[in-house]
Amino acid sequence: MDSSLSKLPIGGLKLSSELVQIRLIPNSGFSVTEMFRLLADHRINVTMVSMDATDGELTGIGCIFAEDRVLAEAALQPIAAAVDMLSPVGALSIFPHQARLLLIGKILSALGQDGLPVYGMASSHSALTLTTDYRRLDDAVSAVCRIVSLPENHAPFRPEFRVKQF
Amino acid sequence: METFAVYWEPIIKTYGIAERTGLCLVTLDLPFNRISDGGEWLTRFASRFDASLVLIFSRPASPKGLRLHLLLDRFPEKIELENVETKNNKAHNIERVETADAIEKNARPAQPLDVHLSAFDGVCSGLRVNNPVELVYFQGPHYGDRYGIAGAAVSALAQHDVPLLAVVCTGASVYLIMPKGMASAALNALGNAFSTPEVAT
Repeated sequence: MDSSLSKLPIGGLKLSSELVQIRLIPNSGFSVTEMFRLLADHRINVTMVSMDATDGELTGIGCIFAEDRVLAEAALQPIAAAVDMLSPVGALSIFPHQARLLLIGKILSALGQDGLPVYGMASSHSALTLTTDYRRLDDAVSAVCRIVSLPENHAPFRPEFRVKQF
Repeated sequence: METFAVYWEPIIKTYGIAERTGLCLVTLDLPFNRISDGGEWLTRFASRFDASLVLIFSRPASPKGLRLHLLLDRFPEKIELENVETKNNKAHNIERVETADAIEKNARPAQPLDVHLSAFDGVCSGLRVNNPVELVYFQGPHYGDRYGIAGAAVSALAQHDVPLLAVVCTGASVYLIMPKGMASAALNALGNAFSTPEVAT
């Protein structure tokens, strides 16, 4: 039997450039509002956010581009005790997920089977984005491709240019 | 080659702000070394429950695991929480956060156990169900490339005392999850802070 028949069809995969994952530590005494303000004051884009209030105040993660790390460290100096940074991080986006929990479960399972870390996750109505070790993004693609089928001639694409707001 | 373009807007534009009410937020903790098992549990769960996924998101909850959230379009009728809570409340740290309406709804006669949350045993912990909750979300031009969008949204809600249960941003989308009854206040707050397109009448 054609193995592609048992795979779940998706539209495509997108890989990020190298990122740094910033975590606001729970109950640190600083708010997410303050963290966002400090980053925005230094014109640093946060590309993915996953925060919740299950520990009381909003806490969680946001990703920035690796080239913004030094600037972010300076920007976040006033709340340095409240944040930590994880790198190198890469994001893998799968689209569309079509709200298929089955697909998401199988993707997590495949990543786990290959010993790939999942640092965070955020979905929109169309895409599911997972963060993992940037050095192992290709391994993550291989794991995901065991369970999804891509359109003919589609290859996971990496960004070739960036739009940056000044 | 670098290309520069200048774009400035006095108020951040959106393509429109939308809301959804009557949603259900399910939260659980998944150890990093059980990601595969957690994925398999989600796969089994997906094939047997009757609600639809709206969002899924997670973040590290401890050095050892992820806090995983499933935002569903309604409380899954086929999940029998009462039994699980009664049986496993202490052992598995199950917590339920609900409004009076939801508690009344869940006081219905027990349904057949189509999905056993006890299957969490040994895989996940810290199960919480927050039901109902509300979602306000919006997209805008190049949000994924711009700074200050999420911060502007969170600040606008904080200024109007709108509590947030979660914030999720990816691509050009911003999702704000809040307790029941807060979506209208959130829409008002965001309507003041962001520019939304006029609807033709």
